[in-house]
Amino acid sequence: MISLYNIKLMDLIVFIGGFCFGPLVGALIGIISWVVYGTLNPLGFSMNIWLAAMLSESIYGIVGGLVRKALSSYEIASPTHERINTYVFFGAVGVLLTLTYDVITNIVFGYAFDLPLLFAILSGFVPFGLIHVMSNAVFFGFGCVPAINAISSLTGGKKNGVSKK
Amino acid sequence: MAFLRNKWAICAFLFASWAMTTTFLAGYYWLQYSSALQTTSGILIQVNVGVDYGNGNRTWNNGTKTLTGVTLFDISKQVFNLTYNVGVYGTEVTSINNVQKQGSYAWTYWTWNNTRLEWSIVWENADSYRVNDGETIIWYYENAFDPPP
Repeated sequence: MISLYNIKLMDLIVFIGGFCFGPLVGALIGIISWVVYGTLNPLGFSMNIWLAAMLSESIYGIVGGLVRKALSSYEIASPTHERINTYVFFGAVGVLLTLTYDVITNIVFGYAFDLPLLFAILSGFVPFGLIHVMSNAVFFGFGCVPAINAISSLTGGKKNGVSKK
Repeated sequence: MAFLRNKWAICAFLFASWAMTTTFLAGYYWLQYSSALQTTSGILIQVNVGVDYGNGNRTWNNGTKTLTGVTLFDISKQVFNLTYNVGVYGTEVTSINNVQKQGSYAWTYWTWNNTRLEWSIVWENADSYRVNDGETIIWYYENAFDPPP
């Protein structure tokens, strides 16, 4: 997906990792993903941005774990709650997390290249930030439920599963 | 109450997502607008500029589009065939549309006063006078400082 700028499944994978295995593991998945991807990044390497992206990516994992804790066991295991709500909820979480991630990394980008803060935060939003937000809304909205259930089945535990109704 | 069954909680999440995304979009376009404004150094305005040749002939360039901060001299150069001298006292207009300054006859310019409904002379060189939106200005060829008819 390297040709599709800012469309990546990494955020979803890190979030699901946090959701299924806890905030700490989720954060580590985010950091390690960027340790590998950042050093091999075909678009180039910048130490400041690499560090910021590494730490920001961990937010997906941490929040994934916190979301798992915030939802009651009833909601995670029950087959009665409405599927569309679950999809919308995860889509909205994806949007909010992506905006947070973009703001943090853009601030560091501005700092690294000596740009005004507001300019750095806003200038990259169209189209790249918007593409990132929209793609993650779709990935999180439609990807979380099947991915979490698939991992739950693989790990043999029902406790992390999210009902598909 | 289970969170995912609470439609208001889901709506709040959706609303927050929408609000943040549109805020960023608005911020982005504000930035673009500010940048464009800085590039053009002003806001688009319109002025009416005319020439009175002192012989009963008068021509108008109404609704001439320009930007805030632009001087009368710049606009006049844009719409008329203009020659000028740059001296120690600033820029002096020597001819407009091939009508040359001659003897005691020279070019003066006047602005229309909307309150008093009369022409007012401006004691300032045209390259120092910044025009305002909707303003009416006339170049007048004369040998005194009488207002245009």
